[in-house]
Amino acid sequence: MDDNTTRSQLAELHPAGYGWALACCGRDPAAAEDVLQTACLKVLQGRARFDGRSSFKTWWFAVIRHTAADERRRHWLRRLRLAAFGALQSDRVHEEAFGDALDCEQRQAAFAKALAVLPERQREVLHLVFYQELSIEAAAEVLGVSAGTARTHYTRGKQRLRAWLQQAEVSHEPARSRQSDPALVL
Amino acid sequence: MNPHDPDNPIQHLFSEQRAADQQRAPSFQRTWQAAMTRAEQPARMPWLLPIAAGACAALIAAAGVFWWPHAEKPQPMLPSTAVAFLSEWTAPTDFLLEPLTSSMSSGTQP
Repeated sequence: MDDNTTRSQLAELHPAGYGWALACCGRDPAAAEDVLQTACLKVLQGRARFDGRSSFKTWWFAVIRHTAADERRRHWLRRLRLAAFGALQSDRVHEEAFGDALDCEQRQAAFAKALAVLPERQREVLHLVFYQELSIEAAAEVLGVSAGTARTHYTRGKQRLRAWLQQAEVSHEPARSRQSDPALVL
Repeated sequence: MNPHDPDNPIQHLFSEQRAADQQRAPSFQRTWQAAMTRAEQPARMPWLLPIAAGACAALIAAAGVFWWPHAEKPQPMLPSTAVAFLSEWTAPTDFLLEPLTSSMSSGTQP
């Protein structure tokens, strides 16, 4: 594959790649952009080369994932500080507002925090399947695990997300009923 | 999409997240250009540190291997009287080992 073809394919995959880089970097936009630049650098320097053994998207996502892992190792001190901050925040996940009355941004913030609490593999496989619309087999290829392992992470992650959704809905049921019943509003 | 699918809320949240991310995504041109700029910069040689650390470790190991055979080994200390006593000691059954001829020539026969 020549350089121009590679570049045009990377450009086509850029929005999806950015989403995946965000997922690999704990939703940190600056870190995700840095990871994408480093991944492109690897391609430019020939350190990452598509050999046609998988789909281009699977290969590119695996490059992004490895690059993010390298960056994480390099910035482990920074990550420790973020983890400490995340632990404080995760206690408040179930307290976050989640209902029809909330706007998309708040709902997304609560969802991002709920995802952050999941184990890394579960989060990754859920992202690849639901966000990137890959099959479980393709997700397994990106993550470098067997399809069975990916399926297990997928099932467990989904169960935990469903539990979180139910809990979030139940905890905001009184707020909803007050809104729907005019008598309760006054 | 099946409206009763329990995965729908999860799918909806991820779709919403994707739409928000795509609005915030930097352009590919910017990312590619930044990578090109970094590629043109002189290499920072990140591999130098592990190589230097390995060389130091190898040097220390080589020095250890060189020093070990030349090191003075501690000798077991025996008191000098004990050494003297051992060199002069004879077993009570030593006479059994003497040849028969020597006993015959000594004139013990009547």
